[in-house]
Amino acid sequence: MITLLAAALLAANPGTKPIKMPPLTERASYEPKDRVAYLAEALQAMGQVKPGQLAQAYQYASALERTACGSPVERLRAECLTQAARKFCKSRPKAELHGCTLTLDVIVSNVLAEKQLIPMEQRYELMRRHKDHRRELERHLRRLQGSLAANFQLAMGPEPAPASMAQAIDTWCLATADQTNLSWQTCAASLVWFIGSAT
Amino acid sequence: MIGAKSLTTGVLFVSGLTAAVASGVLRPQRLAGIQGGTAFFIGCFAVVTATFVFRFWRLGERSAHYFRWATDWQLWDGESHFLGSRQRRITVGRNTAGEAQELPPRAQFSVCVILALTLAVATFDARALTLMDRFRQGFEAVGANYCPDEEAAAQEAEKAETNDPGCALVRRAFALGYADSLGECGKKKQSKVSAVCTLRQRDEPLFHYAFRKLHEFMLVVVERYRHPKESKEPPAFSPEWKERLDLMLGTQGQVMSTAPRASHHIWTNLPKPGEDAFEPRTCVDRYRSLSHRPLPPAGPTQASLVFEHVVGQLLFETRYEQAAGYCREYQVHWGAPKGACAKLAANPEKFLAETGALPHVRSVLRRYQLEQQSKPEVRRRTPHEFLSFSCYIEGEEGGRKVLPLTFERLALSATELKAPTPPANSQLQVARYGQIASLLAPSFHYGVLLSEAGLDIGRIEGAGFAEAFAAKDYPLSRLQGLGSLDIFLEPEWISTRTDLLQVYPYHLHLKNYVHLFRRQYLLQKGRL
Repeated sequence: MITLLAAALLAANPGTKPIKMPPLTERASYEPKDRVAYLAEALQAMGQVKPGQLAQAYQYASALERTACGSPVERLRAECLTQAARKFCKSRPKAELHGCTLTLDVIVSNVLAEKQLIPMEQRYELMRRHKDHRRELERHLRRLQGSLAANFQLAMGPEPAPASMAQAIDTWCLATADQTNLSWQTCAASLVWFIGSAT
Repeated sequence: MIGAKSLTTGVLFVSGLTAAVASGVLRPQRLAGIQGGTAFFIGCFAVVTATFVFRFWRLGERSAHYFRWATDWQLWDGESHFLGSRQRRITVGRNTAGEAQELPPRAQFSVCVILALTLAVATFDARALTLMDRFRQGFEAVGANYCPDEEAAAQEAEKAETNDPGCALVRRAFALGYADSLGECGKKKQSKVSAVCTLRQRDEPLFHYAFRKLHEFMLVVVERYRHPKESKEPPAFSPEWKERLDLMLGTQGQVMSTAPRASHHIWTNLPKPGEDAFEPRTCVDRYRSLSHRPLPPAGPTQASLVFEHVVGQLLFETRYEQAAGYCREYQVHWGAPKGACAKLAANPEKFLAETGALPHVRSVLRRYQLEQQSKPEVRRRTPHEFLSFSCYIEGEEGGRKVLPLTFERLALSATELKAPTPPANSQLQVARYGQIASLLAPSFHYGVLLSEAGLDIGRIEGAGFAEAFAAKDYPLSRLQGLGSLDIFLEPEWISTRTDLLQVYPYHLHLKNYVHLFRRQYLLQKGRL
């Protein structure tokens, strides 16, 4: 069975075929200035969303991640959730489309980061201890985001001006990835959600 | 004028409470820490004790004597001087008319309960209750050491005999007349003559048993006194003893001087990156936590710094799990000639002496010999596991080669790896990870099935990642998908994206890589 599967996979393998990539100007860039600009926009968008809407969108993404988009492969889960987020935002008025996309990106990124933030053992422990474990997981995640934001605040000293907040988040998340074992995207998405929705 | 009982109760109440507060018995934290069972016991104890005191001291009745504060020198009838001077004193008298002030009986009882409660809170805790329970169990178990009942034992033995396999059938056959005799089943097993039981007999009174035990003890003492054991002469220091003593001293000396338990040497043609690289005094701290990705500045020592970083991560970093070795037992000989391993194999002693590795190697071998002699029965690592010689030559093609060598009559080997120099602008050092890992643990292999990324690699799915990162929307969510890209398997695509390399979650696959490497490494190498 495994041999057949391997053979099928190898048959599907393009082998030495070179990877066709779009030209640099057409594809998304993750250079520092692009990251900072995006974080600034996301912070602003998060600040404009009502807490109820945020919770609703989170529930939607979280439910999808557990069901239709459930996959052991991180990339496929991310792809599936972004497709779903696109559909979700299409139903909104045109004026809200951009803000919706930004907000959903932060939410989906946080949903995807959950497994990294709450290890499996801790997840089991929470499920064992609490009747409403989803709510408890949500609360725990919020606490983690809060402690991350507190660390960020302590490290950065006086609160940066809103204009330079995105820059501060980008710098801090890059600099602490080695210590916290959190990827830049997990760190940035958590901070944007916590700080953006609090303002 | 106050009754003696009321005065005593009052004084006890005030002093008891003062002592309790001063010693912290009534601290809220302490009270909150009392368990339910203990609190119940304390309450019961307080009520029972207070009732006893109240009843036996007859605190509900009037006092027989009274105390009075007197400021005149004239005493009343039947009064005596108790304390103080003639002008100001306390007098004591008989309370025959019952005119002394008394606390009401309910108040007296309440004071008793409070005092008993305070006493109980101060003395009883969960441990005290456990000890009391253990004492009760021990006391109850005194009677458990009785001699066995002979009749019951005989019945048990008989029952066991009748239950012998096959006997039931023989007995049935004998009863029905199909067999002439019971054979083996008819023979009663001879019970062993049991020793006299010196435990307590079932009908023996407790004091008789106690006296018997005391008598036995006295007999033993008297016997010892009459016939003391002859003292043995101290053992003579025979040559074997002396040898053994030398061995013990040597072993202890090795422990005291923290002699190395392993000696692993790597010769490389790379230049020394700095004074601190693999420095025994500082290496533990230096390699405890390293950055996920080696990013040394460009320069002549760049390759050396990468080499140091990779070796540190593979063997010593304790961020994810216990280190695979003790860094003081690893020596990296920088700037070695390209044919270092060939020279080592040709004349090990000379080459080791020239490169300064000989004392370290000898020290470990000495420790091994001493341990082998002192405890030959203990299974320990073999010399080729705790002694290793490797050569990492960068800038040449040639692959890996194993050169056998003999040192101190031990068959050892030196592993040489010749690796091409990675491109100068190389962003990822994946190739060096693979080369160094295979040099340190030759059987180590990292493949798709070992990766935590599963089978989702670009080679199989086509340019999956290139497509995924082509679109501009949802960048944060897309970046989460990088977790399923294992750079140790598929570094080609991402190495062209310097922007993504900055945010790649290195720790996800590095942890797995290091874990798998160490598992393999410890199967082949280790410490004494």
